[in-house]
Amino acid sequence: MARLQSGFQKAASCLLVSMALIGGAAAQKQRFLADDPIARVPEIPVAYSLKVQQIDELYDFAYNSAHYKLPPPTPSLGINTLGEVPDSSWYTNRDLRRMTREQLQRGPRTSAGPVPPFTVVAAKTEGVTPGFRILDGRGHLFFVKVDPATNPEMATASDVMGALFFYALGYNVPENYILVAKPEDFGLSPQASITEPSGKNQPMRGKDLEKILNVVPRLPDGRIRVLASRAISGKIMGPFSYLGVRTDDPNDLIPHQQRRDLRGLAVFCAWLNHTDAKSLNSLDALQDTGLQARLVHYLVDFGAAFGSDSDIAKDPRHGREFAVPTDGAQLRQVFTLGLYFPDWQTVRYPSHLKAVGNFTAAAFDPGKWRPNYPNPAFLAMYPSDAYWAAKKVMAFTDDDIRAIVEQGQLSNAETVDYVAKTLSARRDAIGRAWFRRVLPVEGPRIEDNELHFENLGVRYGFTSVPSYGYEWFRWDNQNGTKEAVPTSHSTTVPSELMLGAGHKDQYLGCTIKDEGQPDLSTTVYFRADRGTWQLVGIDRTTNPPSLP
Amino acid sequence: MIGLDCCPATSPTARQHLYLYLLLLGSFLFACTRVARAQASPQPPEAPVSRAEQITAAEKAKAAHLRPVEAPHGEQVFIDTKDKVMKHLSVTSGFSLRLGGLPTGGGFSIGPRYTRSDLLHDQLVSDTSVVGSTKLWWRAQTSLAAPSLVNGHLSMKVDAAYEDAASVFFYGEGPTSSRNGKSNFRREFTTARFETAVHTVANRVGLGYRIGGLLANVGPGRYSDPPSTSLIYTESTVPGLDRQSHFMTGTGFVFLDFTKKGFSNPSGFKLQAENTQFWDKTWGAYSFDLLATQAEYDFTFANGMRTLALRARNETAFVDGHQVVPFYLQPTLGGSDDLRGYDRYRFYGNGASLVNAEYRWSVAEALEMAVFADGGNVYQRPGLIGFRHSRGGGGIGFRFKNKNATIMRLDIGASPEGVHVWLVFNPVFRKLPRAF
Repeated sequence: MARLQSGFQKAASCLLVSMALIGGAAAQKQRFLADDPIARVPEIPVAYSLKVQQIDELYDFAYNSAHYKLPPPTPSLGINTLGEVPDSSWYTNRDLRRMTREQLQRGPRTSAGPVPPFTVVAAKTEGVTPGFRILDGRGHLFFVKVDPATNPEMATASDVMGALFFYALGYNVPENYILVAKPEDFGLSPQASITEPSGKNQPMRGKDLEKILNVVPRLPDGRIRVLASRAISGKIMGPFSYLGVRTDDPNDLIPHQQRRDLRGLAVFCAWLNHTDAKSLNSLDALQDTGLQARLVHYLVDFGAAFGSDSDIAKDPRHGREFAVPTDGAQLRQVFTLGLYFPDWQTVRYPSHLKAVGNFTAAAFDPGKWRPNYPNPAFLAMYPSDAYWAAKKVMAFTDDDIRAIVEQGQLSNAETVDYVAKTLSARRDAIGRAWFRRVLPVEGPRIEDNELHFENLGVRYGFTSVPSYGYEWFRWDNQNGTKEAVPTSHSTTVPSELMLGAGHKDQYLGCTIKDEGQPDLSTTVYFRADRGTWQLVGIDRTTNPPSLP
Repeated sequence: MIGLDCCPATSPTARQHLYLYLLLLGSFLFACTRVARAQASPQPPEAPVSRAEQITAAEKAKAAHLRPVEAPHGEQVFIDTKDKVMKHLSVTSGFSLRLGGLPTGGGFSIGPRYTRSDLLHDQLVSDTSVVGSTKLWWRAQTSLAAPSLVNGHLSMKVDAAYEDAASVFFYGEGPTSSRNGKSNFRREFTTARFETAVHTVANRVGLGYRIGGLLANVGPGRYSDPPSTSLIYTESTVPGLDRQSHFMTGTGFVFLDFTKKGFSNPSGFKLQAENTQFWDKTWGAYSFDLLATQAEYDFTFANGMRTLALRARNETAFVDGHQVVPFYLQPTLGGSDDLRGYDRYRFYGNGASLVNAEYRWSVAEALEMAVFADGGNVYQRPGLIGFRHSRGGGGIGFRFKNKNATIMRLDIGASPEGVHVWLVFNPVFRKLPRAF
């Protein structure tokens, strides 16, 4: 019965949010409301006593591996009438064009990193790589991780670069720093504890710390290089799931697998080869109090991005296959007795650049990219979600990419160059792959009674200027109906529509078609506002077709 | 107003009036209640006029029905079950269950285990277990080890064990033994050993010495079909069948490991050599040296997704004068780890040579397949090392792996003596088989 109630509540939540955020429900005839398109999702205070969410790693792997098939298509939610993701506790639009090089390189980081002295407060020796926690001179808590001996600089650089890229892309991430220090800079707190391989927690001794520091790769001058990730502020409430909603957060209305910012994350992860994009690499934190109390959603742990798999260079199959076989290519390997070689098995990796790990743009196909195991939001991604994300990726210039890669503090200039160039090449592959699924018209505006817009495919050189067709219409916002105006097939606003431009609540629209690809079109909606036409909505058809 | 007490209870008309009165009263009260409710409840809010209001209304609606976050039912059941099972299997200190631990051929085995890995700040590990198998083989063992002394350069271990292999197959000695000569015998080994080893070059080179004692006893096997070994063989053709000995043993060993970690298999070269001296303290008739060497070379390609693996192994017993090697300590061939197309323990001899080649391809992270070819022979004296009476076979294998190791192996081997399916829980080409 409890589960039935839970299911009902979930269904009710979905219905409410569908009504609220896509504005297409039967109860709401008006397609565009007064404040559309919204730039920020209003959120109410979290007054409920939250519990820490537990997600079992093995169950998450097994459950999602068993649900690897594409789910029935569901609409993308959490978007405004332009199809953009408004700011919220999940996502913040950061306009790369307005970010300076310094802002890109700083990301979420509020300081220059941990300041000495470093006091070790806890450590673990179990697992593949050791890790410990320190308090710096200002009393800030940091989680410290190290590079594998086989690939110095790889995992630490990956964690820093990953955080900066995802921050610039709009996500909440922790402050990650490269910390270079002498082993003797690390002292031991009298209360420090260590988790032994046996799982036993006991007081930590100087010898234990020495043992941990001994396995950290040394720089030529004897110092060690580690990653210091500052503890996220607020009360940690566990990871978020990529499926469903949190039942204790009033602002969490949209099933996560339908959020455009989580669906589009697949494209970002493909670009950065962040194959370990799973629930356990996320965190919810309850921040602020009273009327400002919000549950803020973070992505964490980017040690398995680019060519790194944290404790080893990335397995070449990562990014192309799930851990559990699901596709025909794997079956083909079974029946050909290993004589079939998929393309990713024959590409060359820069084996002389150990800090890169296994990262390449060769054989990178954005449509075939896979995380380590199925992610429900990624599986549900639709071409329109991918287009939204691809736009963000394409906004990074070569200089932007290099600026962030430099923050990995890779000592070899050739490594920096290789990573930056690989990311640029993968960026272009993403643009090519997803821009062709839509008519990538952006920045539509009406000036001097002429419709202006930009085709991103043309801008980035992926296609030549297509032959456009235009279908103007009057939009009845009260009834949600179109009235075609057949007199104009150019970018000029038809005279019938120009007459009432100064009137309130008057709408017009235009469907722009690529005559070479008749199934692709973009429809733009404008509202009369103080004598001008303001963009209020964008609809896109996609290939495969859009949802009804 | 009509009082109930004024109405004659027996009058039908009055009763009808009463019913009518009650009906009207009920209707009036119901109507009043509805009106009162309607007045008490606020008017339905007007439809939001902005998107922000719409969203806020939805958030407030959810806020009225919040409930604690909890794992889905299936996940909760999984977590509870996992905790219960893993509590018994993954204990690093304390009581747990042990799976396996018997020599090859013993069947599925399980038993209680007590381990301590937290002694002397994790420097000392103790491990005690008793396991029994589906084939009624038994083993009890205890050990105390310091695996990582002097910054990992020195290890020491002391152990003692009793092992009862109730039905070891024996087909007669030599390369020409017949399948028709199949028999079974019971082999009981009681051992005590002390081992010390030094490890260097990042644990790539190691050498050590092991000294110990072996009390051996053989007797009738638990199967009646095939018959017991003592029923069809004699001491004159099978040394050690009637007379069992107690041995002092000393083993020197060395290993070189120049392999590099890979995605599906390591690549590189590995060499192991071990010489065990058996001094017969009971009869003075069964003393010998057993020299075992194994070389393995793995070549990986296709970004580590393909492996060509080659292994060569030789075990040769050296005897002085009239000494002989007891059959229960002779090298053997046949089984899941060497000649996979032949019965387990199919060939016994004073020496055995073996070569294996495998082409492995990684189908997925958790699955690797292989085609393989095995060849080898047994011989009766060192001078006969060669390819005479070689036996060969081939087959296909499926290896189920996690990131670090092979969890399970299904190998199907074929030879002129038939097809054998092996389901085992160890990697192929593992360490040298133990001498005892």
